[in-house]
Amino acid sequence: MRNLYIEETTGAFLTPEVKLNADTGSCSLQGESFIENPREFYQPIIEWIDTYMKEVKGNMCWDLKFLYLNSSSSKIMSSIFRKLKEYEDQGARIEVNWYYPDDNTDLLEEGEYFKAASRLQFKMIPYPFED
Amino acid sequence: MIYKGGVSYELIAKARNQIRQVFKRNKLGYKIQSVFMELAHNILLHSEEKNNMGDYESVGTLALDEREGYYLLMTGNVMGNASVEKLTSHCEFINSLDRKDLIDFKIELSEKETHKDSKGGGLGLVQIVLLSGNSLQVVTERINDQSTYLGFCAKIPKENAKSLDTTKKTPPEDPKEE
Repeated sequence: MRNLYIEETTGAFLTPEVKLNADTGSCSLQGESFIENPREFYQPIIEWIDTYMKEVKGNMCWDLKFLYLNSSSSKIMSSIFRKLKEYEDQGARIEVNWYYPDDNTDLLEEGEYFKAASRLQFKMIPYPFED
Repeated sequence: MIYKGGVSYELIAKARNQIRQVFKRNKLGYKIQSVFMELAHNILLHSEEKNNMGDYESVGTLALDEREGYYLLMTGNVMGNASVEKLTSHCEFINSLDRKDLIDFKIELSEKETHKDSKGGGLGLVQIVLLSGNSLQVVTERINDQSTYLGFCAKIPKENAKSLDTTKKTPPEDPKEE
């Protein structure tokens, strides 16, 4: 199974950098998400997870460092977390690290919302942010 | 800041960069930027008034104003009457919820399937109320049998900047938890 890498984009549309490693199960999304069609952007990630669950059947560690995500992106991320929870219920170990700037409670609350929506365990990790 | 005209992703990006610059050292910057983008995106996706300059952009009004104790973000655009009725009742419902129920409602909406052609997630207004910590004001003015002018106004209190000094915000209904 191949790794998936998507470069971060900035400008009119904002998409996060995506690194999904099939060998280690280490996955990360970092940056901002505001796009015309979020479903189209996130579909390869969803398909990669489906393949990983079927072929690799390994544990996963997700590092998420969003600086902004709009409500449409948030809705799709919720469905990704629910998929991961289903995988966890099948016996996999899923670790989720949610990084947020230490002065931004809105992004902390977004992480807490994903935690409540998915019932996955999230580790909330503040970091000093300099714009 | 006031703008009226075609709303595109490019315009939203430019305005957002301007907001980021102005609020660079302000802890409300993220809230203002996020609420602005949700409201502007609503115009882009749902305004029924289009310009005729070739690119057929959605047309609307965007305004950001500073008042003594708060910032106001206002938008306005034309919508079909049926859509406005649905939107105002959705908004009334959201405004009736406390913070915990709003989060539960956001979860409920996130679990609903959206049509594959739908670009909005249906969560935008909920997100605006959660971010601003205030009800979202809605005003409507019927234009004719087909269309209504719809205005939204989100108020972001400046005192929020103080509460952001702590890493965990207490829900207003249960201050003992902090």
